[in-house]
Amino acid sequence: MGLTSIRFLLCLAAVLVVYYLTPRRAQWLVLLCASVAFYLWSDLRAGVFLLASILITYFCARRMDTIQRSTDEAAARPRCRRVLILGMLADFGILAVLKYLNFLLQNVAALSGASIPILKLLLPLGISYYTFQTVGYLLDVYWKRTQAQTNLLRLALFVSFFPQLIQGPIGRYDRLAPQLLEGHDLDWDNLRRGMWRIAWGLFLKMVLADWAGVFREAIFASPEQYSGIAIFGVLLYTVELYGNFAGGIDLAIGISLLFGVRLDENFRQPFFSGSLTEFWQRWHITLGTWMKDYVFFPLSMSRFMRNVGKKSKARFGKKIGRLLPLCLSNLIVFFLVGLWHGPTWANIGWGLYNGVIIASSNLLGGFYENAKTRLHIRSESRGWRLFTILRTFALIQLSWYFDCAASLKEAMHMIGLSLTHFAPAEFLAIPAAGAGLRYTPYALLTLCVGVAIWFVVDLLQDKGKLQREPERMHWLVQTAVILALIVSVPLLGPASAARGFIYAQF
Amino acid sequence: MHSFNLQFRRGARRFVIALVLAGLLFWALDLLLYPCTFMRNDVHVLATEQRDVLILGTSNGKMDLDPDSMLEHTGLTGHNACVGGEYPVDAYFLAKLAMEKQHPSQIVFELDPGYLMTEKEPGNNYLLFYHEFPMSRAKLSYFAATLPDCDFRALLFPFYEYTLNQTLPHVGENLRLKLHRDYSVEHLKGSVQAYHENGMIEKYVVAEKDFPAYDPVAFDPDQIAPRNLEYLDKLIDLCKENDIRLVVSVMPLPEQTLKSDANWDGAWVWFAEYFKARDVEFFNFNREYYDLWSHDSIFYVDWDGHMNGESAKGFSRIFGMLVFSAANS
Repeated sequence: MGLTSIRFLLCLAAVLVVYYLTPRRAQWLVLLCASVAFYLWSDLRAGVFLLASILITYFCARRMDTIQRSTDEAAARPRCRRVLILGMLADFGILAVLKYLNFLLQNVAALSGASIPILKLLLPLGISYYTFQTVGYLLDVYWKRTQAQTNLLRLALFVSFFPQLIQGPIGRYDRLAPQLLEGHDLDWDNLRRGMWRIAWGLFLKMVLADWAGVFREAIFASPEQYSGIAIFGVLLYTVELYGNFAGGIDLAIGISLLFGVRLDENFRQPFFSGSLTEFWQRWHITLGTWMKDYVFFPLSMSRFMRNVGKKSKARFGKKIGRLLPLCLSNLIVFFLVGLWHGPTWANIGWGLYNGVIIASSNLLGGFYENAKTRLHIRSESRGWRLFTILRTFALIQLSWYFDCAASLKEAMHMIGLSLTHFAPAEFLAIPAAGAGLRYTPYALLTLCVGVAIWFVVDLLQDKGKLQREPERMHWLVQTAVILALIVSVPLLGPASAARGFIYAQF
Repeated sequence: MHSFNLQFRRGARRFVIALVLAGLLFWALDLLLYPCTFMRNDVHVLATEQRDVLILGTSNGKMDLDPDSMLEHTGLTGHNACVGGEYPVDAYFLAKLAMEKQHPSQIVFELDPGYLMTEKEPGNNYLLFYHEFPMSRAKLSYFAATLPDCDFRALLFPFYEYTLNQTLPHVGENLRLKLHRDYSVEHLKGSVQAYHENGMIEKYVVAEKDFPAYDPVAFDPDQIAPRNLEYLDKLIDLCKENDIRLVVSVMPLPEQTLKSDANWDGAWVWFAEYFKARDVEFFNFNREYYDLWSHDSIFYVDWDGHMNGESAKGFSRIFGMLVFSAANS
């Protein structure tokens, strides 16, 4: 059941009515029923795997809680660790088998020359998101950051809350669960804020991303025909990817707000980042913070990394000894980030590309600082800031050639064309989706104006001059803007079936 | 508490006003931008006027069957509600709507085997019919059966598949026709075809050299979309339940098309058996009644088998004599 389908819209309206008519203490049950119904309707068979994850997580967390309560800390720790590892192996095991086993088999077959058949495995909806939520919760219980939930159904709601189940954001138990369980009175401000986010999300997804997708697809499908606009192919991919993912997240956040639940933000004007490190603090924030809290910190402070630090300090000096464990941890984190995005070498390569640049910028940080001092560059100057933003943007674009091209060869070919050919008029030879060539100039104009609106909104937000929910506007003006955004979808978006959400495939 | 109540009421008032404004805006956009198609007239006739014979089916039925010629010596009245993109699901609900509003005695269903092989795409293909349905049980059941999985634009903005440069030039005309409930057909006559009040579209003559390329869908009984057969069965049952004579027919195709590699013979055999098993009359002008109408390309406007207006009238007379003769009626 898609988030923009009529079925979802009607069900959402019905669930909202029932939710606010239900006493607060029982509202979470309404959300649970809606979430279960939503998931089973979307993917009936995959419900088994979701249920398995919930049960594994529940019993492992309860077991750790019991151990922590019944024995002293020193004795409890190894026992809890065993339960934690068991729980993580089981949760990640389901994900690994269903999502990554075929990838592994393909590579084994390629290396050994053996003929290994591809298994027909079901990929449950949202498995990457809910697995990260369950494992994060297990680790929080292990580290005593949160208490184990004693009610299985309440934990089930945290894992399966329907607006964020398909494409995130990845929720944290300590922030999300209390909101889901406490119940909410009808708050018109929440409805208004929710509608703002939904309208903006629809605009990003169904006007910007869908138009960008039409042109990007045409360029990458026929690079020779559109060689003069190859560079725009990847720029359009940026618009498509951001509009698609951020738009989807806005929908999830907006729908949650209708129930009084505030999900974590997942984007903070990522294209105004001055470095890749900053980019990952602004793009897919919940995945970045999850990796930081549950992989990077434990890894960089592990005994192994401490030993690496000591040995490298003895051999290369104090500075390298301090930085090398961080760089290695970064590489591992970004390897996992790449892998999370899908079982392909392209994704792994893309993750490592980010990891290598971030690690090398850590290692070479001192060199850069010296160079800046010698060249009399002030880090806080506007010019330098702009330069770093453009530099980061270029690095991101470069990585996305490999993401949207079908192969490494095609990506290199597209990069070559981008540098050697430039003929923007070729845009006019791409027929706008379903409406033909005559409509292309209008589609391009819509896309340009849409990108300009997005840029201005992000710029104002980055400078703190515009909140996502402009509270100060008169309510009628707010209503008009929300309606204008919603109406822009049929009036300005492609006149074809809506494209799917890219991040819903994970 | 008092201030909370006041605040809550103010919020509720604003929410209701916003909803009303949204409703008005969406209604106005629909009024201005959704085009007045010929299906508007067809559904209007089905819902408001009594006809003895309804013709349902695809574009071949729309262009090949002229109700006036077909029924000229029978004393019966008829309307052609076929259209390109009309799948069995649409035909079924059109028949349901007609039965809710009037009492047809016979239904002719024009069958294109290619349609059975493909799944109907969501979106405007449904809206072409659904949008024109008056509020009725048929409309509600059609909605439940077809629209829930479409995106919200199909419900709130049915005009979304028409681009602005298609719709803006016709805003004034749309407004006039809709506000005056005007179902005249003058605006539906164009340079290549003319829509008639009886629902038939008359195609003007096209030279063979100008026929567009045609690639028929090869028939394979294993590839038939189950939903198409499900609604074809429902249409058959609906007619039986309401004591309506159902006639299924395949329109004549040009000889060159019949020679194409689309497994036509397989299709004819399969459908003959299918309808025989369900005790439905099946008239195939490419097999059993092959000789009743010419398959020469001069009678057609394309390789799809759409006839030009004059041929269609001639063929309709023969079709009427065969299907509505005393022996058959």
